[in-house]
Amino acid sequence: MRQRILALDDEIHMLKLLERIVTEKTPYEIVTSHNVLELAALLERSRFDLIITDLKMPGMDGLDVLRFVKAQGRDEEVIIITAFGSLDTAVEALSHGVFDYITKPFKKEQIVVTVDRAMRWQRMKREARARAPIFDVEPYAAALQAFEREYVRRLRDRHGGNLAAMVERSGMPEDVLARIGRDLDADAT
Amino acid sequence: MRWFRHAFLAGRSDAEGLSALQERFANFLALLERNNQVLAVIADMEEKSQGEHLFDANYIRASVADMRAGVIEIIDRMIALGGDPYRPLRDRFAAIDQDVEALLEGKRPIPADDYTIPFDQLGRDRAGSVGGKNAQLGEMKVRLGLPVPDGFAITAWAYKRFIDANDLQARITACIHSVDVKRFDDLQRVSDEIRAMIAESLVPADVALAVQGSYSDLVERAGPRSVSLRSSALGEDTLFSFAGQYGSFLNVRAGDLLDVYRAVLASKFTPQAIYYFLSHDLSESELGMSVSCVSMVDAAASGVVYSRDPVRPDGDDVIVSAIPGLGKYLVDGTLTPDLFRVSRTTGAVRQASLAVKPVRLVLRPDGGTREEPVPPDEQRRASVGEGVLEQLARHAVAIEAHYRRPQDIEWAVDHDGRLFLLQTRPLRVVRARTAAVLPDVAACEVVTRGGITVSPGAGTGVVHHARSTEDLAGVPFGAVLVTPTPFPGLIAVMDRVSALLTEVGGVASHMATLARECRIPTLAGVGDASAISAGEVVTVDATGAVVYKGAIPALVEARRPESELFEDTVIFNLLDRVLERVASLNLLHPSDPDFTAERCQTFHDLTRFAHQRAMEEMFSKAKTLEHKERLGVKLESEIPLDVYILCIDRDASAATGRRTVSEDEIISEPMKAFWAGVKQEGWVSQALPANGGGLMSVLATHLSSTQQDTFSESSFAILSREYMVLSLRMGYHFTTIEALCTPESSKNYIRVQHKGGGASLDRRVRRVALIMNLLSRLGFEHRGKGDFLDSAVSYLDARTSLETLTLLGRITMLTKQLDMALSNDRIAQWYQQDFAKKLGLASPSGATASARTASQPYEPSGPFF
Repeated sequence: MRQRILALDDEIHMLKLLERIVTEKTPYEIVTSHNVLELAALLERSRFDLIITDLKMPGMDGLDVLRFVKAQGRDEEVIIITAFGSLDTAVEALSHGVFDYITKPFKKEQIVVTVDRAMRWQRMKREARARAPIFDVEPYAAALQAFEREYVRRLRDRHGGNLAAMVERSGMPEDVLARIGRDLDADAT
Repeated sequence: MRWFRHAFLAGRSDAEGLSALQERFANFLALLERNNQVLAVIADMEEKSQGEHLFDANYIRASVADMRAGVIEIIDRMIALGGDPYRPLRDRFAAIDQDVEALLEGKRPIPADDYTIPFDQLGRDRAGSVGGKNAQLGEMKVRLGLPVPDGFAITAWAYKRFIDANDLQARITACIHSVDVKRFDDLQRVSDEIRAMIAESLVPADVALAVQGSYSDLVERAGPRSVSLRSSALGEDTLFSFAGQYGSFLNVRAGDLLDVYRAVLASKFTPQAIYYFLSHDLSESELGMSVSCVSMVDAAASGVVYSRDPVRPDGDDVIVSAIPGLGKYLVDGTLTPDLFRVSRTTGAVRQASLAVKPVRLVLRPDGGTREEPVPPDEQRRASVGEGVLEQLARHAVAIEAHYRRPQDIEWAVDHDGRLFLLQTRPLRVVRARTAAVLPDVAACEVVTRGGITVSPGAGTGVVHHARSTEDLAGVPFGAVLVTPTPFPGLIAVMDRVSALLTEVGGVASHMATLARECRIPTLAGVGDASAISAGEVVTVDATGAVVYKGAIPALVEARRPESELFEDTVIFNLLDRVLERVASLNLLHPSDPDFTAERCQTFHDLTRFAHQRAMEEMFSKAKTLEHKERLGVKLESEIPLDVYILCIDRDASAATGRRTVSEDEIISEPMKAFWAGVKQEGWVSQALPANGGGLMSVLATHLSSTQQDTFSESSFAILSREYMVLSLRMGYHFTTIEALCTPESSKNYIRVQHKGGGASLDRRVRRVALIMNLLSRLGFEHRGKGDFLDSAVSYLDARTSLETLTLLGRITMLTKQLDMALSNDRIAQWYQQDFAKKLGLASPSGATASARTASQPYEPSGPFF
């Protein structure tokens, strides 16, 4: 699934530029809103990986957006875009858990690189989260089994299900690989 | 250091004269400083306009505000410096400023017009009255003769009449300002209130009459029929153009016209729009609303045609989307349309992807629309036939040709198979770049590294060196031009060179602006640029500040500014239009008759004009200061010249009885450098070289030994730490040298004026030509006529300025009264070569260093500074 960005700015023209750059220079999907008051409704409807928000907006500013996202315990990372004059506020935002801030005007590469970094961070977080439960499994034998299944799942993804290649790479017996594969298929259905 | 404190002031008026001069000097320096700041702002805005940055309207506003403040101060300083003749600058500023303000506010006063205008009287030029949609329909119908349904526009003027007649403005404004901006539902409340307000208001009788009259005319032409009413927004190209789905009403019956008209007007006040008005401190009244009233097409099929494939715009296809029934279900995504690729050249269908269309939207006999199922056997059938597709392709190509850009066109076919075009607008296409990634240049040999990016990009070509305008004639097409300074004469070759390298300079010179305007990759401050061999092929990466050996076309391609990514966005268009009004340079040459305050059309022109005139005013004011002998202190020197020195640094006020100052006490850097040159050559009483050989007899006859020693008339110098005006009187010669020499090279300049001589005119002209030739080798540009020399060089860094001044001191000594000796061109040539050799001034372009002669009067070759 494509990773998604929500961009908030009361300046429609800025949103337009952000939309262009994300659409044409990154693999991500972008949704924009020039009305930050829609935030709650938008987040209720869908999940994003990243929120890019302007700092100064009427009604709710970038810090409010950040607080809202954190208070709801949501996963979205937040990048704040700010004018040079409001740098202090942006730096303060760092201590409140903002992923990064960018000062306007900025170069295209700057936003692309920062967005990429945030997305990579999100993927890592997700992966770490998926892996974490294995360590909580008890007893050890069950944990080992869980690990084995996760290991084989990845092996299969890497080799497109080619059993011979999987045996060669992993050194595991073919029948064990086949059995775990069947278990995984059964889970999937 | 303390010499100036001892300057004795002879009288009150003299002291006032000096103090006024000091005042002017302070204004002059402040003006130069501001000039730099303004140019830096221009440079920054131009950089942002290249498509590599994202910025918002505040950026443009803040930049313009900075520039405004700078230009206002420059003009004030200019008037303080030169007086009333410069007052017209204020009027020019006010006029330009007003235009820029209007651009920024996006203000378009609603033009007085008829309340309604039939389509056959519309065109693009009336968009200000009827909005983009109406104007384009008129354009297609009238100019292109395309099948557009009959109809008329209800103008923005009618909207204004409606608002005024019902006294709505104040009420709407109050309502908008009552919003609690922290609550989305409050926006909805206010939106509902305003819509209700509009629904309750009456359409004024005159507007109602006009609308009904136009409708009757329509019926008369096309028979009884229903119409569609859609908004046609004004100011789409201004900051006002905000996203907002305005109302669109289909199949409106005659009796409902006015009610629906009000509903369309009310649709302007969505919660989104209200939020926008609030957050932008804009009065919504400034945004007029026009309505498009179009004869309803009872569509059997509808759709959209793109005149290009948006992701493969260079291909031969137009892309047609089509559904059965009315087009609304395509636009709102209810139905997946049939897709056709049709050849632009032959109109043949290349590919058809048919979708299942289970429902369609159709007209209700009593007005409005309804959904109906599509019979099962028709659901998979193509919505349109090949004949229509062929026509669509033809129209799309014609419309694109007319607007000179890809188009997105709405169309419909009625039950009789007649095709109608309902709307056209620019289509955004993506052009794939052949080399978006930078090539690996690690293996490429680096010629030099470093410098300041004046204009981004990369360019490849053969290296050509030029020291001044005179060397530019031979610049080949596509050359990489290397110059010591960004001298103004470079304008002449901007259309020819593929890259520009200068040894000194920065982003803030008038020339830097032109380089960016012409998109010439330009690097400044490349200290060792002069060492790059002429004739060598190099690639200048101005963005990365590296010069590589050989051609690297992939790098040139990759560095090409990607302006098209943002090219049709409102914000970039706005910046471009603002730049046109603030940054373009129309005053190019100070000797043009058009180089006047009245001809200034941009902030940059004002700055350029004031910069030029300020230098001239400072020069002439310093030169014409009265009673210099009494005000100044005499310079003690072995050189037999009576030079009186005045200091115009602000703290030079104390005066004691001291009347002389020694050479060591001079604190003015330019004067020290110049005087060092004077002393290096020393005072020779014979202007003839000892090795003159056969020339001796010729020359001797023209020399008057008495004139050699008559230097009784005094010379003077007006000095500050970084500035010098030195007026030397040597016999019949008057030479004035002015120099400003600061750590910021963009402020620096040296100017030399020379006039007079005791010999006949042809000899004087030869002498001037000889000096001019030597100065050219130092990068000077010239104007003047006959035996009057007026030469200048700008943007040298401090060190180069001082070196140049030392050479000028030497040239002054070498050439003093030389005219007596220059009886013919051959002798002049001999001297010229001899001096050039002595001074170490080779001709960089390799051209023969021939002196111009009296028979070749020189013309102004480039603007100063």
